[in-house]
Amino acid sequence: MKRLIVPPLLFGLAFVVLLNAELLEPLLRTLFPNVREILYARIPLIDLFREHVMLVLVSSVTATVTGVSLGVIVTRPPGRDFLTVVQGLSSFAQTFPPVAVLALAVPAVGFGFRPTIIALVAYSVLPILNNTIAGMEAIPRELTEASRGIGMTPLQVLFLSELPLSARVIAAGIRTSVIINVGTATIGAVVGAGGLGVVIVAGLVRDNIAFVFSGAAAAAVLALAFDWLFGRLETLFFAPRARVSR
Amino acid sequence: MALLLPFIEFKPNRVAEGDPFHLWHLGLTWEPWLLAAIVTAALLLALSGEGPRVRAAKVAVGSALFAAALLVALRAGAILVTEATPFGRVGPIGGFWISALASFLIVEGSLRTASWNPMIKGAIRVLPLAIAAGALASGALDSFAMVQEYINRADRFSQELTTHLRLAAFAVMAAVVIGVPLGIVAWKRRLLERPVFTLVNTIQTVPSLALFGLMIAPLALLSRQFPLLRAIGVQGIGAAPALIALTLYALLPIVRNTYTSLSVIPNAVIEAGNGMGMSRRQLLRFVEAPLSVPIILSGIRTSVVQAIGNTTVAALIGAGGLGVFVFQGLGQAAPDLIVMGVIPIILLAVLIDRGMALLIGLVTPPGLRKDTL
Repeated sequence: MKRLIVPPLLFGLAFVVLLNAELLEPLLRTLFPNVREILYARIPLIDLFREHVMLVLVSSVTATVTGVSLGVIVTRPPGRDFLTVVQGLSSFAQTFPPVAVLALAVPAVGFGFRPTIIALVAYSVLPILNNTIAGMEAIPRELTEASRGIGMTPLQVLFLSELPLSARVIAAGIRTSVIINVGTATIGAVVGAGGLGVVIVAGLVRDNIAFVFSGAAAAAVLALAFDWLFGRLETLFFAPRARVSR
Repeated sequence: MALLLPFIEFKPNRVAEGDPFHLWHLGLTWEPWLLAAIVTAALLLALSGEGPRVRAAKVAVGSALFAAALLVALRAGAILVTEATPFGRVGPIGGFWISALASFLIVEGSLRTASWNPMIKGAIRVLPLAIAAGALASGALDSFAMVQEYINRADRFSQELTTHLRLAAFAVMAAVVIGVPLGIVAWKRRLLERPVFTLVNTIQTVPSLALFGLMIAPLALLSRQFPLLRAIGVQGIGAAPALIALTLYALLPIVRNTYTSLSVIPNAVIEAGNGMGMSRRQLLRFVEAPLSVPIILSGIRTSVVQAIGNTTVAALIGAGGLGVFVFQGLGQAAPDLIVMGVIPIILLAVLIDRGMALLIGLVTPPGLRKDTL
């Protein structure tokens, strides 16, 4: 129980302090007494926070839908020919640094919110795709054959047997890509995507530690909160006890 | 697609919009036909089933496709950029990149299922890089936009490349020095397992730019308090916070894999060693190390590849490295400069990843070998 109550309280408290100008100002004043301009005045932190969450949500949802469907297609009989190529390409592309993909989006598509989303999706689809394929391939053949044997249609096999069995691995891929997206979206500020990186970059440009700190702290707490949430969801859906209660 | 999309663009100067050219409108004679012939051959091969011969042919045609695309781009550059347009520059676009991607897919798809010697596979994979490097060295690519960006800053480039490699290498070395003992401790002392993993996991979760940012304030404070630190170059921004953040970031894969490497050694194997009368040192040298070193190395592999990427971001806090060009390019809205910075970073990451894979293959005991490439 303790682990269910304490972290959300801490995250909530951190967000309230970091995103509320009246509470943030005294904190920054004590931390950085020498900085003159203490609060980023151009855009309220809460708006940047909202932008950041939007970037992460839109790209993660798109990446999940694309990654899982692509993974399902290449593990079906008609798509199987492409399995090795897709697997090879996707694990190869995963060695690309996410920043590199983000930067390449600019010559390809231009500056702003949309190119950033495209870059985030392009990169974060990889762990989901890899894990979907891995999850599907790890299912023993006897199990899918048994599902066919009891008269399930291919679609039923997919939705009632294969996807539930690989859900745990797929969920781990989604968690990885959400965390990557929170991080890459922070850098998105330099390609004009908005988000919490805007304050960090502004602070770096103007040599203002208070700006850098407030943006970095908010981005860090956001990533940790997302990670905690996914950790909870994983134990909630895939806890050992759920598997015993067959 | 490769034949129909615009292949190359011409810009009269650095900031102008590019003018796209189709393969057939370049004023070339036989080169487009060569490319078309190779594409046709690739299509025919794709339809002609399996087998070792088909596979070898696919690898050959795939490699030829890249070479031909590069050749067309080269010749086009020579035609489009003349003495009348001294600031003109060309850049490969849609058609070229699709040809390159198709070449990669064909070659890689056939190599993955081929049971050839890993050295030969490696050579085939490096071949396109060698061709491109050769073209670059010969000066044939000088009319290319990103090459021009490079020529304008050749000195700065090698300097930033060294900085980049040095930052990443030092960070990973420090992470090995800290991470391997940490992994061993987590394995030996059950009580410390959770705190150690919570810590390294948390660090890795924090966005890289945020971690860099969070390093700045405490270091600036320290540097102000202790002039000695300032004297040795520890400041709020620059290499010091970057190195610390990069090291912290590199910890997780190393700690995790050290821990795993210890947990996968079966007790029976150790007992067998003991039973054979091995001393503690012999046990470490002949049993434990061969089993665990490859796993620790693959942790280091993940860390190095990540470090190359994160070092790019470190340029934002004034640590230097190839990220300097990327962010300069983004700041000046100069796409060619961005590409010029990004491509070496990707190449570094990919080459180091492959190199580590080869190394891991070499140190893995033959009985445990799988194709890690």
